[in-house]
Amino acid sequence: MSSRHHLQTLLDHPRIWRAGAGPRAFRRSLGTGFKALDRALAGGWPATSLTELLVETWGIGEFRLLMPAISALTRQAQGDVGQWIMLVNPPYLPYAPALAGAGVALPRLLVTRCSRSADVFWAMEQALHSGHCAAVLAWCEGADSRCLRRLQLAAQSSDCWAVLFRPARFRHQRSPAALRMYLRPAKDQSISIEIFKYRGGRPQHLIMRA
Amino acid sequence: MKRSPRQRGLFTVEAPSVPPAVSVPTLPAVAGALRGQPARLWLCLRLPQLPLAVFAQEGELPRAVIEQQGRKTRVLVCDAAAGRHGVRSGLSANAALALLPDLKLLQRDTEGEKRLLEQLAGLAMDFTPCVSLASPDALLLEIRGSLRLFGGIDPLLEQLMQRFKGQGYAISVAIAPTARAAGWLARTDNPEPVMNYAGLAGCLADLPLARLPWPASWRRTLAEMGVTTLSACVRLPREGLVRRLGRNLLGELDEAYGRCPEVLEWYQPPQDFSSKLELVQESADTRQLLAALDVLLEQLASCLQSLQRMVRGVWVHCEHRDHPDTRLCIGLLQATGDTGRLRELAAVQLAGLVLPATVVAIGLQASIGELLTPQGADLFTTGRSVTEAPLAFIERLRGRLGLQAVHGLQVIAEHRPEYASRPTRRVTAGPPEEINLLTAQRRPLWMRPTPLALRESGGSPVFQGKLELTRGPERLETGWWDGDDIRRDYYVALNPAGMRLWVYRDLRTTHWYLHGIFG
Repeated sequence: MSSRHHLQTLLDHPRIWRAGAGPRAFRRSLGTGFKALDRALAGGWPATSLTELLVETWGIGEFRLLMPAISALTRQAQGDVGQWIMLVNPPYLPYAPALAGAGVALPRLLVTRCSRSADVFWAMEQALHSGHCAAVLAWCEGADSRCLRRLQLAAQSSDCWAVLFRPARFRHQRSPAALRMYLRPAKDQSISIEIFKYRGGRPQHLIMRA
Repeated sequence: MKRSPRQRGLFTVEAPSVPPAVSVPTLPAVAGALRGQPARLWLCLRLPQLPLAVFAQEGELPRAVIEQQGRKTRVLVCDAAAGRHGVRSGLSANAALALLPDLKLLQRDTEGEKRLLEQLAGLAMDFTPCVSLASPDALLLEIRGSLRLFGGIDPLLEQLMQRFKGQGYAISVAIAPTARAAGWLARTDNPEPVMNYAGLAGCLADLPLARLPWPASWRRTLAEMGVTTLSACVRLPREGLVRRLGRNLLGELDEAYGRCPEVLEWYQPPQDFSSKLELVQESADTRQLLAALDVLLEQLASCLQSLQRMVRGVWVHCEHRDHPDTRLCIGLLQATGDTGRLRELAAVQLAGLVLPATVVAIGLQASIGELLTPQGADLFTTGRSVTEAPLAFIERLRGRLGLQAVHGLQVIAEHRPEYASRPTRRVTAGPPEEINLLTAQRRPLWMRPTPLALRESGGSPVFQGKLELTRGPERLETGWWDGDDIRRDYYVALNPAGMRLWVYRDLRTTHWYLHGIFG
């Protein structure tokens, strides 16, 4: 009995990956709002790590993919999650009526503009450490692995969902993010999502409409 | 009794005309008012060396302040070194120079004296909120209310003397139940404090009239009458005094003896704080600038403390020798009396600042705002660990990135798409906005700041490839009332790279424009 118990605790250790088992559920996950993506991610977006979305061009549907999770977060009570959803350096102006139409509560949204790329990482790290943000979404270009490592640690230690949008040419760069997805347009207005790194899971590929 | 014309003879002498009776102010009913503890206790703080204190000490030479009196220039005040050589107040300037050739003569600066007196009134406000300027060189403090806080008259006097002597001002202090009596007693050497009306008459009795700040004509007239002390002056008949010397003298005596109420103008501290510090050594080093700013922030803190007010923002300006000043604005979302917060924000801003030249002096200005309200802590702490208040976090971001960099979003009820969304500085919850869900769901998540003109090829617009119009047209013709009217047909377009775009065709110019991108 005790040896079976010991074996079970050993197998439950996070550093052991078992090929037959599906991806481990994270400490907390946010429902994506899309059933196929929920199944692929075993629950939803990893709510306490860094998610990296690598996109060919902005506007193929990557923001729409996150909309259900963001609107669910804004409608959660302020005591349970942080107060704000922060968008750092979005590529264009966020359009308030469309966001409100998608179900986002606008008083919980914060937009931050930075003139330098170093400031983008600074703002993201400050938001993650402050405890006042439920989620931080940032758009940036190049990033060195030290910055990414710090962001991943900050997201893990705080209770905050961090998303980083980067151009697709960086998908071959190593990154400590817990979830890395490559988004491409597919026919018929759908998106091809390639999950090429998922901590505790295996690479997957799916095509869905957002 | 009317005289008959028969009785008027040659030798009748007209009686001298009696002047009409002068109305003399009557004494108020004094029944219980003067017995027991007086309602107010006044402290007069006199600075005999005030004209000299205005000028900064330079070098070791003895100094004296001179003033034009009539046709002669006379010495008003001189310092101890000059006094040892025989220079006295009232001596003519030439005589003073003859006694001491090294004497430095300074012209009296009445404006500087007034400013210095106001600054000292600010210091005195630490002891009582009721301070009045009894120009030219005295302050009147009403201390009955402060006695309990300081624990008696002696501790209060000790702290007062320590504070003023610590700043380097020689003061003489007198305490009396009436302000005027306190002012008079402060002109004597080492006056005893008078705590109630009973002792007042006795203390004022022996006061020589020469010490009082009365015009020379009064003193001359009184000297001719043989009156040299106040007690003798008070025994004179009231009507006679009024007739010979005027109403003012009687008014002053009544006020001093507490028979008549006094009306004083209270000192109001200025609504703006402004202070400057010259750096010992010119530098552009952030640490030294912060150290200088610390000194100024401490002054601001004591000013706010004495006024019990809060400040919403400060301006820091760094002066350069040949460049225009560099100005920094440090604003807070919530007014605060705590300058530690301002210091943090200033440190963040100074760290990111590039100075064009070395800084010679640093100045701080603040406009003093509402009354201080103490901040309470939350009784029920949330599970997450938060190190600072939410608004403080926003202030910190704005401090580094700029005031306009962090904002929320607001929906405006407008058909013109470019005006329907606006950044707003308010980041806390407000009333829920009403939106038209049907149209809102057909709008793109991103909007370009200005529409981008698109090339047209073969009847359809081109943006990174030929666009295929999938949905539309949605005609918007609106905005004629303020001159910015639009007549556009909006379409949803798809491009070969997979982007979903919101384009429109302007009906007046038939050009295509890209306005928004669906996220």
